[in-house]
Amino acid sequence: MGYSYTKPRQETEISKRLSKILYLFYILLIFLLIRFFYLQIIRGDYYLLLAEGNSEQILPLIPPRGIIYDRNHKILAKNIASYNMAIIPAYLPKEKKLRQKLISDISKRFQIPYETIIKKIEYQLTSYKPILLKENISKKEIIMLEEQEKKYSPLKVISYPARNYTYGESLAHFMGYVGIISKKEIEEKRNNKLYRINSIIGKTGIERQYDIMLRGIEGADVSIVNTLGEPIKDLPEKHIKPVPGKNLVLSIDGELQDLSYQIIKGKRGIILITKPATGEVVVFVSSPSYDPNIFLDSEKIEKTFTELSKKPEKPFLNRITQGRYAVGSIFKIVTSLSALEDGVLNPYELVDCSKGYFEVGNRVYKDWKRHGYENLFTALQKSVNVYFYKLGYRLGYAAILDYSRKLGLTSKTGIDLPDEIPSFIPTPEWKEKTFKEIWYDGDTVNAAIGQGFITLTPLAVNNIISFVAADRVFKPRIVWEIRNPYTNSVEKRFEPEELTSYHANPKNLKYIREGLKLVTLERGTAAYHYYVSKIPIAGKTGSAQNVENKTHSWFTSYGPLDKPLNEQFAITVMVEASGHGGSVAVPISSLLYNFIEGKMSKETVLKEIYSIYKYQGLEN
Amino acid sequence: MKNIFKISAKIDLWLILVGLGLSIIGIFFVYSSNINKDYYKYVKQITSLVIAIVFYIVLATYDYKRLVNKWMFFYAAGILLLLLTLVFGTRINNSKSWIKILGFSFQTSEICKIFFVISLASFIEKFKENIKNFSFIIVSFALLLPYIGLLLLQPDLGTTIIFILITFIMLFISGARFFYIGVFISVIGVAIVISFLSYVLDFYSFSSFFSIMKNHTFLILLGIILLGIGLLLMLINFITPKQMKKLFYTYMSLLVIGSGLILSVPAKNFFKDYHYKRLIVLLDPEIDPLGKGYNIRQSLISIGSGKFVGQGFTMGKQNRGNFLPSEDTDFIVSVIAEETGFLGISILLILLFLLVYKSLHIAFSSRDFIGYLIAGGISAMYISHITINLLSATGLSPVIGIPLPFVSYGGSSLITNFIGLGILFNIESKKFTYISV
Repeated sequence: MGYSYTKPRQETEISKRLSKILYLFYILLIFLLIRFFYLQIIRGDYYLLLAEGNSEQILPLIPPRGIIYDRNHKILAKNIASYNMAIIPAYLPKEKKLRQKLISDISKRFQIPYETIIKKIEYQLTSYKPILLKENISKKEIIMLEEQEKKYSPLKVISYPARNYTYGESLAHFMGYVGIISKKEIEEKRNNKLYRINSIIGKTGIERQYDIMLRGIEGADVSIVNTLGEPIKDLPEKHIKPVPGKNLVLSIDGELQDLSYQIIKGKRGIILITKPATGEVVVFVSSPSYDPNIFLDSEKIEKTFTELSKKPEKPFLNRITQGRYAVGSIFKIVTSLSALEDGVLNPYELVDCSKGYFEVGNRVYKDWKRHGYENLFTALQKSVNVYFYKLGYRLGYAAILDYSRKLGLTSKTGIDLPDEIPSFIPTPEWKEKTFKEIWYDGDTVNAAIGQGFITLTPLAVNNIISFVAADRVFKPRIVWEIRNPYTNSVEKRFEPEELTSYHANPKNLKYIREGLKLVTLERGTAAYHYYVSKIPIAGKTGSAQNVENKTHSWFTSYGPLDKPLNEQFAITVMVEASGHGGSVAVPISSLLYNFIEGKMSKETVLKEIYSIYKYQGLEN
Repeated sequence: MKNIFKISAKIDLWLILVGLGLSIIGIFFVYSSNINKDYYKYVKQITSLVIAIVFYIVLATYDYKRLVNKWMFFYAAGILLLLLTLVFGTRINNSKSWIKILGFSFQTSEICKIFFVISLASFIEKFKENIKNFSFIIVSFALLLPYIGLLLLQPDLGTTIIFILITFIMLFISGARFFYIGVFISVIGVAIVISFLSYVLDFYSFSSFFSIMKNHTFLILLGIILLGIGLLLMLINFITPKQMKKLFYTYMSLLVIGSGLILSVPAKNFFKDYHYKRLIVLLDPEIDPLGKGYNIRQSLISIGSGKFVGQGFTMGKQNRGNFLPSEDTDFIVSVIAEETGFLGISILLILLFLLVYKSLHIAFSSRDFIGYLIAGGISAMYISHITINLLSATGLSPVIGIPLPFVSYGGSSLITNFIGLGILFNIESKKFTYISV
């Protein structure tokens, strides 16, 4: 080698140092390699998932819910916009101090506790998803937000459709209400694509029964968002147009419904008005009731719900579809019909009812009064127990059971509401199974006047009188038309549907009608009210024994008798613990007929009712 | 011209090839990361590469010793340049680091790195007799001070750290007392740590027990106490030199911590809010995923989602969704990781290692001390850039905006790095210089 070069001084130490640097760097790179390995191989899937968080965000477009009309095309249920206020944390100032300042300003202006806001946005300061701050904000608050848009840019007004019920409390029991779908409901409707988490769903009543018609079909707005939820691209080609819900037309008369509710408000009971010719339900009142409009405010819902559920008078109980009562003397119609149809009764035959009781075996069955010699007509007119004890004894329970079935009393009436329960007509088999006793004659005798084990729902009772009026048993129905929300054209019209195909012998029916007409005349049990005679009706009173000392007051009737069948109404009224049938149920019914026939104004009806209550000592 | 050919026959071409290789990789990924944005950025990078190669050729043929002769000029020029930048510069991303001439932007701090390396190397060479003194270290840092002072006024914390690292490495390889360097680092280290601690504790709202650390008087008082005890022990040590070693470490630690505490107070005023936030976000990226934590989070997602073979060139999801900020500068390695996976990254790391190894090797085989120092300084430049850039991208250090040499987008940076390669080439070419024996 013919060269040399001057080496730096302290070569070994220096080369050691250089080597140290190189080694350090080498170790650093190895360390980084391991870090990359960790990130890419060990946690690769996790990060890939995050990267793929670049997903399509589907924004559901919720169509307006169908509007519900009454028979006169008055709106019973409609949609109103309710406005909530939400906050988008990502739009808050990044500077801690500025952010806190804005939040305390918001807290003051909109009366939301500072702590509440902090808690809601605490771990989501970066999210683009709106977080609900306040529900049902006022117009004033909306204006404030609009005027100071820049300042309140993190705040957003979200409108959502809420339901508004025109007659509030009066129709809650058939209308129902809507709410957010519960876990249980999601489970049940798992396979139905119409329902998602946070869907609004009808919970009870018509809102539930016809929910699928009413809710329409959701649409969707699709956009691509990044991992932080921020939309970065719209996909108009994937947009699905929402289909609005269908409108419903009911046979209910809103005004009459409201008046009926005003009549028995504060009491426990029902008013049911139908048209015997078709089964149209015109009035469906169950009292006490609740205001379905309260279920708009979700914070209020829980509180109110628990409060109301605790009340002893059970405001949530739908007494028409879920109340089973002992109806007492009303059942005499069934006994009469059975005997006549079976051919074992001569309606003109006089029977001795003067003893005031009837003996069977070693039991004594009492009458409410000592009568004289009665035939079918007067027995019905004066509701003579002994007549029917004897009749029942002679007839036998099998016949009663048979005609109960024919009248549809042993099954549900099939009204288009959820949760109906059937009436209860006992059978000897049932008695043996339940009480380990055979059917006694005494049971038959009791049954003949509607005592004993027989319990009927008001719908069943109404069906009995409707049969008398029309000679047919129809299924009661509330919704009669489904209409297109855009054009209002009828997409489906329902036809009256028979519950049973039973028809009575017209002669027999005539006898019963006579008897029932007499109920409202002369010494009939419904005769002594001033307004009864004004409109010709036929009906039957009932006073059902009940646990408390006062009996339930029943009156079921139809009329006006001077009108053709398709213009007649069947009215069933029951007021719990209010005395005899005649005391309250009859006046209510007759006033209603007067109103329907245009003979009285609303105010007069109510005035009369209140004075009757006062007279009976039934004031609220 | 004849000389070059002769010399280059015996000089390995690894360095320039690695440099070019990294630059080409850089161009590809500048293209990929800007595919949805500034599509033609890669053209700018190619142009810069061409200019850089020109500079490379110039510096490779220019005797580095002649650079050394002008070291004071370079030193002053650097300071002047930084001053001018402060006065006439344009503000980009909150830092006034750029000067616009004829429509082109130059980041002046880049070339200043070369100026400073030359200056510091010359200084060390001139005063190499005193290399073992503590004062040597002090003076070296005095030289550094104007540069980092001006840099911090821009403000550019990242480049400041680069300068500090280069200084440390150059002092280290020059043979200065490691111990002193260590002390220096420790004092500054303690000061920074304590100032950060008090901020971090405040941020996380710990109980009032720790809030005492925010109290300046407390810190200074404690510092003085510790310093006092330390000095006392040192005094004792002088008087009774028996238990030297044990006491030595004790009082040195106390002195270091004590001074650190005292210095932490001015340090606190020195660091801004967002500096602290960057550190906190390191510990807990989720705390501010939209703000300071966003970069780190996105970078990790990009890197991780590359897995073994990557998602394919220009096919990176993060890349296409434009989730990564500074994707062609600070985080270009994340794009590479996402699109070429672990495989690609391994290759990149190998190339980077080769770059440093070859540079250091040139330092080792340099024929004189000054060459050694300059080569070492330039190596230090590469080392510090690579270290900080890769550590930030992988979430192991706060993000301070340092580009990856040759790969990241940036004309000034690319040119400076090739100037470095040129000087290295020149130094290497001289190792076989004949001297008259």
